[in-house]
Amino acid sequence: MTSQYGLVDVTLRDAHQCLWSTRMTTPMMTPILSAIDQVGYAYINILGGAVFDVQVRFLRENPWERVGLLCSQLRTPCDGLTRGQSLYTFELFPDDVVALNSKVLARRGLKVLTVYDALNDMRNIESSVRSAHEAGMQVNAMLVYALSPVHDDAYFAQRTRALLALKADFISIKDPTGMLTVKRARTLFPAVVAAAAGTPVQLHTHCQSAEAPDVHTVAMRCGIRYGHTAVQPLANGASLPAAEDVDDRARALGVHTGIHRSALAEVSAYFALLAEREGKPRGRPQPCDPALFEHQVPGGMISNLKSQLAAMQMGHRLPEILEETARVRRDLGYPILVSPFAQYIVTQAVLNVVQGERYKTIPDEVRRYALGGYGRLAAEPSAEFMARARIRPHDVCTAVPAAALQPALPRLRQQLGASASDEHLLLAAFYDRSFIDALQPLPTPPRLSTTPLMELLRFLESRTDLQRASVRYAGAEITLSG
Amino acid sequence: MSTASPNAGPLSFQDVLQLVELIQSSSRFSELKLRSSGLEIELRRAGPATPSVAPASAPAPSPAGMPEQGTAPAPQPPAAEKQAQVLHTPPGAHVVTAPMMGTVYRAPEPGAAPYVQPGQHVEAGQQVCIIEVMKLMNAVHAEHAGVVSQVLVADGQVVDFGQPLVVISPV
Amino acid sequence: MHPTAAPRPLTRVLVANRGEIAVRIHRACHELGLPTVQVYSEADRDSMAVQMADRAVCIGPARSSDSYLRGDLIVQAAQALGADAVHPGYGFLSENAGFARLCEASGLTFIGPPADAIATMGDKARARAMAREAGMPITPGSSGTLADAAAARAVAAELGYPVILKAVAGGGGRGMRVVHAEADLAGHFDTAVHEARAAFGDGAVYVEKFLTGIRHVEIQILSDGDTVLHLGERDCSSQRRNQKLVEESPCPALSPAMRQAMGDAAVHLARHVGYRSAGTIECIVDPASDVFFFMEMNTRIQVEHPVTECVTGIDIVKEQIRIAGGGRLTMRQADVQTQGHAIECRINAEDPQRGFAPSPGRITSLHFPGGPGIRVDSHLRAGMQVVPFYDSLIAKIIAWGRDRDEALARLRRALAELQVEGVATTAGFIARLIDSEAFRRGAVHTRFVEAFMQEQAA
Repeated sequence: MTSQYGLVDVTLRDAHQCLWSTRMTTPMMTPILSAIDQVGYAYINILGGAVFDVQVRFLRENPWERVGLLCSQLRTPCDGLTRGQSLYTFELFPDDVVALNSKVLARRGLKVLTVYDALNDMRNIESSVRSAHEAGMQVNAMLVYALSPVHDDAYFAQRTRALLALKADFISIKDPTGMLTVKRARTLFPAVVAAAAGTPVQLHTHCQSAEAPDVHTVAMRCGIRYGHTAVQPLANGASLPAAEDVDDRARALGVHTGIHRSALAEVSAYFALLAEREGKPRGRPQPCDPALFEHQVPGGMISNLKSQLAAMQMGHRLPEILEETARVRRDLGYPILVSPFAQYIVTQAVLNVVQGERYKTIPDEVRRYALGGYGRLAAEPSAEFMARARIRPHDVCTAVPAAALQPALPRLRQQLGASASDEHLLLAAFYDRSFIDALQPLPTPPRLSTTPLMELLRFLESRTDLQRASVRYAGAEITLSG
Repeated sequence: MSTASPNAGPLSFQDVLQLVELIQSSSRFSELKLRSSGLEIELRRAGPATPSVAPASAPAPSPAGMPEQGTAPAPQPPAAEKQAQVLHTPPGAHVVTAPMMGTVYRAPEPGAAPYVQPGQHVEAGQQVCIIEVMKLMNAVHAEHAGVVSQVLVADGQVVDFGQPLVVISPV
Repeated sequence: MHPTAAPRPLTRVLVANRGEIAVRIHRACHELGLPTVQVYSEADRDSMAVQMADRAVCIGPARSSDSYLRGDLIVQAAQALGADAVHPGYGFLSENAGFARLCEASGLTFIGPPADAIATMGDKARARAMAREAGMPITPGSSGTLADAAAARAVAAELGYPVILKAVAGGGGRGMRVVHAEADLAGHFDTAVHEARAAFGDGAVYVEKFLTGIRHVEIQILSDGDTVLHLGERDCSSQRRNQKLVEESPCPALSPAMRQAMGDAAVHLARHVGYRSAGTIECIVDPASDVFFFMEMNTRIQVEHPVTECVTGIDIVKEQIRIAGGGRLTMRQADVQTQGHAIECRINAEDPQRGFAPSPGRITSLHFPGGPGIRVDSHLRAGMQVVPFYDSLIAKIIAWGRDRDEALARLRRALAELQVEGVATTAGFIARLIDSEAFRRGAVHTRFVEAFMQEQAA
């Protein structure tokens, strides 16, 4: 039994990624930062692949600025998540880009770099870990949990040992589809904690199966030291469990989280108000759908898939596609359905269903995956698939994918000139110029505080159906008329 | 009474959230007053006072207890704005005004013919309408004989004491 | 007793009424620690009841049929603003079984009797039948509704004239016609049917013997569904046009034996009907023959409930709310004791000089009486409007004394202290009424006020 269980807040990253299509903007976050600092979190997760990408493509915000602003305003240490060698996208980048990314993040104030590889091929995170350490950050290396015949406790214990060898400061169990059950946790967690040999272990699990809060209880009992949570209005369903629920369970076990509930309640209320004002959904516990354990599609993806299918008038074929996803997964050697492979597998499933013939069309990424282009597979793909893809055993590559990549920075520096900043270089490595040019600066000065009254007024102003609102408080009267 | 309410602690985000949730859940009502932790809020929404939801099975009015006004399904009274109308009356006309504040009914009962119509000849003392106040019906009469030249109010309209109702021009 | 779903404790009460009774309900809820919601019409926007609630919503324009009678909007308001119970007050929807059922169907606790009891006792003919079944004497009359004037004539012939024609769906003193001779019966019958249909939507009529020199005495009932108690009687004979003006308890003309008999009969009837919550069984007492008859039952809190509260010390509205939330009556009938004497008078915004014409308007100055034994129930303050859309009640002034003389002396004093400016009131008229020799003697009957007025005019 652990005596301390620190909470890692994902409200500013994973939570809205799952529930709000990643659309939380920096101005929505800054007013509540000082209140978030009062809650007593161990770490605050502020960056992740989808967040970086959505900021540039849709919000027109400079992601480095958000990192810098948040880290400078928060005393609680912040962590950022990358997809290992793929960083914030689905391509693979050479080591020099990965190293520069670590340097830039550290310079902006990030304290912990969290990395994972979608295939649990730990070779793909080596350069991230090394460069993060060199830049002065700690590293949280994640094991991605999946359910399959090959992903047994021994498999995860072995991967844990590989992470130890990399000198990770933290080891996390990441369960993006909420498939961890209490039953499985009871054997898996001790195996991982034992293999971690003293390195603190963290638990990051989503709520699709509704067991997540209870899985955290098992984690506490097994000596795991940190749990990832979100505030209530952005918790549950496809997101992570509510900090309130996990803290309740800790208190029931006599485990200390360091959370101040009244501060947490205020921060929670702020985000609930934000949801109401912006017309965004609030997280609700959802009952477990047993099919989840078959298709295993991550929460963040299902809503995207639904809207894409709806746009193609194919919304009714969702169940069929999810079933086919399970089959494709088996055929491809049990890739874990986390980005980027979740997208590839689901795309293949959609193609299989729409075309009426399995593997009639195989996207390049799927082929590349089967050829080992992303890393070592957990198991061999099926013979049927390999035949349809016309891949023979000796075609499969076993080298570290990034090893083949040429350094990209020299070319970029030449293109952009010597005066280009590191941050600009990195953006150019990831995006077309048009996206970079479209980025807007954040409002200055940023709104760094707010009050309940101000949030009420902002809500009232946002309502188009209100003709008139009159607010009386503390001797003052404020009238808003539409 | 907005004297110190028992829970007048400092306003918190949770208090505001509760108010916002109430505002959202009562979106079909056009006017709302809420109070919490020392904050008072009054809202008016655009649109008619009665929500668009039709009465499901409109219950019959209470038969007992306080005398209820009749079930006259008169049309909605027009907007309560008083028009600052300049009354043009023919010379020698007399204007029948409301002897009290209340609701005007132009007919003895719903569906019946109105007491008077424009162009109609009336005798001195003839009833021109009813004004209903606190469930009591009060007959209003023309003082002089003549011809009804204008009826200035609609059935079911709320009128003030002294408000012009009917103009009667001399024969 | 009829089995009902287990009551849940209440957390927030919606007051589905206005004026002084709404204020009364807010007060009871405050004492019980229950927050309240007020629904209001546009005319009541600045009313005291709205100020007493911390959640209030406008449900329509001034007309009752567009606001306080809109049960559907009231239920929606309760659901939107987090109320789990509704108190209907008196009038409006308080005796509307459909509304009570709508509340229950919507998951709201209706603070009052079961819908079936409301339906049964709201139908005057069925109520008389229930009273008869429960062994309570009923005014001699038709046992059901009358099919036509001929049927009416047949019953009237048996009863003997004068008789009174009453609307089955009527109440509160409306829809009644006295017939003194057989020759007038057919004409009155047709008119009664026509009026009943126009006023209540139902033209059914029944006939009773018309008794004179009688007193109107009502018994207050309180039941939690198992324990049924009566809280004594109120004499409400002082009426003008069947509207009560002055009420008192105990009734000065009731013998202890009669009081006991009436109380027991009322309890028995309430039990027979499966009654729960507060209710009033109105009777006619004929002092000449020392008998009482069931007249009707009001399945709600009554305007004059403060009279009983003063002599028994029982807070009837609080008990209604407690019972609705599953509370039990802990007292037994023997524990219900009356002390002293209480008299209530209703002060209306009417001008006795102009035939009691309603006198709405703005109250420019208002001073309520105080001192020992005086209770004032009102919803008005200086500066507030008396609106013309509802009833004309300004305030109820209740005086309690150790005996009737002291209560009367206090009431007289209180009426003298009362000051209302801006609207005409009946205060002066009431003061003279209670000062009349007949009232001081306690010799009131249902024609007493009329006789008093004729006397005054002469």
